[in-house]
Amino acid sequence: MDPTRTSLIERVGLSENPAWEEFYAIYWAPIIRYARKLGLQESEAHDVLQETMVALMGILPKFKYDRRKGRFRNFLLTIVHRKCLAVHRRVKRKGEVPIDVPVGESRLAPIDRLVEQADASEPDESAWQEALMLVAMKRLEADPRIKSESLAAFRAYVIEGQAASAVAQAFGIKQNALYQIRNRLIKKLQDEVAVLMRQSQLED
Amino acid sequence: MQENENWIPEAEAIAATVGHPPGTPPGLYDRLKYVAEVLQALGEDGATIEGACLAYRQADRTVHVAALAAETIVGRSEDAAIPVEDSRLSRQHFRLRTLEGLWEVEDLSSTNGTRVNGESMIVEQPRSLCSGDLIEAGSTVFVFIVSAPIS
Repeated sequence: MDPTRTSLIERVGLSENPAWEEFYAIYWAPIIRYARKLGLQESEAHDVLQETMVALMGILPKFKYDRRKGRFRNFLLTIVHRKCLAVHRRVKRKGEVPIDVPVGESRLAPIDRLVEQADASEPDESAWQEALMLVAMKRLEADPRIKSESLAAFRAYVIEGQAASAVAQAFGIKQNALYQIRNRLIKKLQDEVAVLMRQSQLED
Repeated sequence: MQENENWIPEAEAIAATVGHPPGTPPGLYDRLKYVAEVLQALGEDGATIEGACLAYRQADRTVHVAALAAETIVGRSEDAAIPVEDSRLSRQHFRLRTLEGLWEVEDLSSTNGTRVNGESMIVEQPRSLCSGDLIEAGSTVFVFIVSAPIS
């Protein structure tokens, strides 16, 4: 096996390190974002994070990697998604009404529609990728090769959605230069998300 | 960023870059560390966790795990379903029970009270539980765990 292609899951199966801590450090924010994306409340998303980590603690020490079986593809996302469904079911059974939903307002969240579908157990990979953007942006911010001015312009133009002309003027650059920054950093973001995806799953 | 598309940075390096920014659920990481310690100790003892369990470490550092029935009373009394040697526990200190897959804990008017994840419980007001919650009673910290197959 090419050692450069081993994922976090493969490595933790081979080491005695408390690897759940690495999972926590990298994925806590995306897990919360994913749960929120499915419509869970903040406190419910925290429950998902907690239950996911406890499940990892129980599973990782027993993990034996076998590429031929490929059973652990989408490993982390599968756990997160199932915990979302479990927390959602609990909330429904309890009949809890979250505090931050105004009286009379429907709480038909994406997860309500999801559980009615036949493939509810299938994780939403696009939502997970979007959630991983959080970490990917932090990785870019920590990269000394990327100028802080470029990141600030990128944030204003791409993330905050400000007009290109206004951003270019504010940063003292031509619009073409701004477009180049956008294209370059989007590519880097995509690379980072791909790395994070591969860290949390096994590949075919 | 990666000149070689097959290259994956070490997880430790990513974790160090990302860090624990503000916004992380307060206290959760520390609680999880305790859960991990207890689970590791149980694993070293060869104990297995299946279904809903209560794990706890006593003053002599021994770690125990007990499977939960639909209703389980924990306390100092030998008549409790889970009797625990802890002088600060009431004879019947708290109760765990499940209904339709929901688990909850209720303080049974104990002398020294019960806390869940650091929050004091109000007598006769049950509180729902999720896997990994910490129940503090007397001098003992109990870990509520529900183990379910993932694959």
